[in-house]
Amino acid sequence: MMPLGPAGGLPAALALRIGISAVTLLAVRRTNAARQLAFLGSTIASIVTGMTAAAVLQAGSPVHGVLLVHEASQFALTYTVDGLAAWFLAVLSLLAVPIAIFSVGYVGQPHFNRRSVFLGVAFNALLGAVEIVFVAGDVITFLFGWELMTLAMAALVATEHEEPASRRAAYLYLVMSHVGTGCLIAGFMTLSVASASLSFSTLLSGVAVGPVRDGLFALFVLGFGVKAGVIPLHVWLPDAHPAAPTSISALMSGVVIKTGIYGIVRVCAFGLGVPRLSWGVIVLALGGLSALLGVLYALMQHDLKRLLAYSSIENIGIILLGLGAGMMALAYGRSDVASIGIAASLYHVLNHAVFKGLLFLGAGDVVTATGTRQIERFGGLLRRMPWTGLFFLIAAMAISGLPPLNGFASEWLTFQALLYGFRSSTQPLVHFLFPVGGALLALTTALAAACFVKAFGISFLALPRSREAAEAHEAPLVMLAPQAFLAALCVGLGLFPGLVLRVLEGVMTSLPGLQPRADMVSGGLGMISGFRAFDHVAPVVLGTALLGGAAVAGVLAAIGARGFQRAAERAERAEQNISADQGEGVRGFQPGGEALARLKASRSRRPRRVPTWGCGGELSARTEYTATAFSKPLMMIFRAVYRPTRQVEALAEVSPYFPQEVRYHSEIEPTFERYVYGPLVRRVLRMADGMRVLQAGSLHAYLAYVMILVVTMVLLVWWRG
Amino acid sequence: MTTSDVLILCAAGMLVSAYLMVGQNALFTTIRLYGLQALLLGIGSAVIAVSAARYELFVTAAVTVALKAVLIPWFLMRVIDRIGIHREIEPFLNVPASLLVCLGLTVVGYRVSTGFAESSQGVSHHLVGVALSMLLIGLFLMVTRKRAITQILALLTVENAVFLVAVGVTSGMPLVVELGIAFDVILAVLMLGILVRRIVDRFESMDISRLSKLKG
Repeated sequence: MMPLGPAGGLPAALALRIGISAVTLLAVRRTNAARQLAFLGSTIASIVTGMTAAAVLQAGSPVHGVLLVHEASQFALTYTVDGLAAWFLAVLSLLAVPIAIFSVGYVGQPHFNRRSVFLGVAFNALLGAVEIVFVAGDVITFLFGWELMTLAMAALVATEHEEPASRRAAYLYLVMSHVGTGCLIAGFMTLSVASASLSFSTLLSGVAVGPVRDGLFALFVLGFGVKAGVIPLHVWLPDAHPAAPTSISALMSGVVIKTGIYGIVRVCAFGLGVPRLSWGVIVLALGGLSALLGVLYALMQHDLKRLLAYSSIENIGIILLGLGAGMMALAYGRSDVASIGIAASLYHVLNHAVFKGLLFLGAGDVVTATGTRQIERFGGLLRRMPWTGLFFLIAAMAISGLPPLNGFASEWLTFQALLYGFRSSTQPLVHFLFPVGGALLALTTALAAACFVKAFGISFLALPRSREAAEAHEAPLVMLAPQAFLAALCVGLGLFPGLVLRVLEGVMTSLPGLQPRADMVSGGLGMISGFRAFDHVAPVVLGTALLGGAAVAGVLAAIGARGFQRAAERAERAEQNISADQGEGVRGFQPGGEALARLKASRSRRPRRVPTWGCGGELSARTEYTATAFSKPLMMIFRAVYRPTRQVEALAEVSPYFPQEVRYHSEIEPTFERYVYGPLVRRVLRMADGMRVLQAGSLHAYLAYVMILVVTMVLLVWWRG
Repeated sequence: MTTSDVLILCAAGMLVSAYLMVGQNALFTTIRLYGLQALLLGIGSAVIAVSAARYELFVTAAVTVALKAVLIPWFLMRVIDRIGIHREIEPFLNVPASLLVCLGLTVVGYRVSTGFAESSQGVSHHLVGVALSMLLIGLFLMVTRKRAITQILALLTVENAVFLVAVGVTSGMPLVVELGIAFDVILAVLMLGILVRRIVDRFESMDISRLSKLKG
């Protein structure tokens, strides 16, 4: 059932959002009803948008329309839903619906109180703004949506504005975003002056040439890169994500930062075109840098949401790796290779939205249940929150690139783009960079797996490390159901990549200069892109094999455990006999010797049961492997990147050899903040200090400025006239 | 003496009154000079009404005289009486130097006025020249003087200059516009008068350069 044609769907959704926001604000006193209205209404609007996107993806023909016309000046805000826009819209809707439903439960917590109404309205505003960004048909509409998105995000980041950290994060986000937007405005204005048009369709049709084009490329990469959180423009991102409420972080990480990717794909790769290899190289290099450094920093985080935020930077890097490979292939004219790279990056956009959204929602559950974001204070949550744990595990496996989940599919495709592209050109730069990119991707994926073993293992396994973790409760159904939906998507998108690729094929044929190979999509199960025998992978088969292997291993482990238990019981009986006979025995060096000794000392006939691997002692949370300890070996290996500092402090009363308390403090150096942004900020502040002379606060000085201006203008008029 | 001679005489008188304001330190005299300026403006409007046969300009002239030559000076004098401050303190630039600068501004105003298409005819040329000079002198007064009352008078001088151009070049604006401007002026003066009293209450002085102390 579709009451509206595809052309009417989008304005209807936007109008719905505005209407919902207005009614919500009117009903601010009835907090509960207002909240439910805002989030459920948002779901309907997202479904309408999603249906429009699906219709466009299915039909393959773009939808045009007008959002608003100013009659007097004939100025119109236009929209165009073409393949690329529809793809991003579909990703947005796919994530926005579960998040909205999750939010009904999450934002209903008592500590949000009145703020929940504000959150509902801002949530709708943010979604509407992102929708406008994706479908904008002209520069003004685009920039309007872009700035609305920035403002809504800043407001959402500052939701808990009593916290200085939240305010700082919002401020940092605003400052960096505006610098980025400034770059975009400069770029768009240059283009629109050159082409005497504001519409995207005519604006980008090869107006700029030569160094101007290079300058525009730099401006756009800078402007969109800030939003995407590309290293080194990422510093706002790890602060903003933890500060925002969790459902917003999920949306931010899943879709909002993808607007930067959308911009780079639309404006740089397929707007300005790729006239030379170096553009692709820049994108590839930025991707490699973001992927590797993102995951390295993620490994060292002990704040769950901050860890996820850095992992988003890593995934943006992976997306850019695919895109960069595609752009390089476009530059040397192999559109079949390019289509693999672009498809990989677009596929990863979808996948990252799904599993990172799921991870953030799971983190939201955990944070709600324990009241803290510190991984070191979790532990043993799997027993208390089995469903959250299961979904988190699925997402963690997906993000680590394990088949048959969706992360594997897109990362494999990225590999294929890099490895297949390696053979498609004879240029030395390609021969050098593609394998390097592949190696970086491999390293990144492995480190991501380590990172999420830590995130899952320390949080959900072993014993609770704090009272809050021990008393945690499973989230309500309204918060679990969206996670189940996303987890199912993780599995489904991984098992049937062919279906996704078929949709992506339509998207890519709509992009100028791309010709995907006809045999790229083979059936519903496999992925072929290059040489048949080499990279023909059917995730179903691979996944089944892996699952089968895991099952066999499990069965073997169970049998082994049974055997071991029996043996242990036999040994125990024998031991009792010995102690009954002799009283004093030979002390063995085998594990468990201490227990044996105690057993003998107590001379008790009753068998004493203690946990495995406890060396006979009682296991407590204090003996557990901590997150810091888990990541320590990697910190040592990548010491050159982290430059860690360590401080051990022993508090002793009598003698330093008998400390009462040992304090250990370790931190990694914030390289970009300290060496790039620190000097920059200092310089800007110094300049601002210099400007203060002008703004002295003296009324006469200001009047004198006015007068000087008037006299100058009058003289100018005379001189010109 | 033709009507245009009278008109030019009025304009010249206004310019002279502006110069006298620059040279004057006593606040009462400055206000009277402003009253004189407004009176000349009223006479000028009446002359245009006769010469251009636009009799609704008589209303404009009457309003101008009643408001700017009588009501506003009376109100400002009352304000001065209440707060008991009668002289301007030493301005940022002394009187001879100020007069020299104003001379330069007049030259600029006159020179620039030749650039307008409307001022090719004799009378309009003088009117625009005088008006531009007065505008610049008014701004200059604002920049150099410290008393709040002088600031108000300088602003009103600028307003007179703009009015002179409007009446002189277009032979009178629509009456509605002029009445609107008149009300604007009276409201501005009322509010500024109140503000001056507040400033004096707060700082025990009318020296607006002290306002910079409000800055955090």
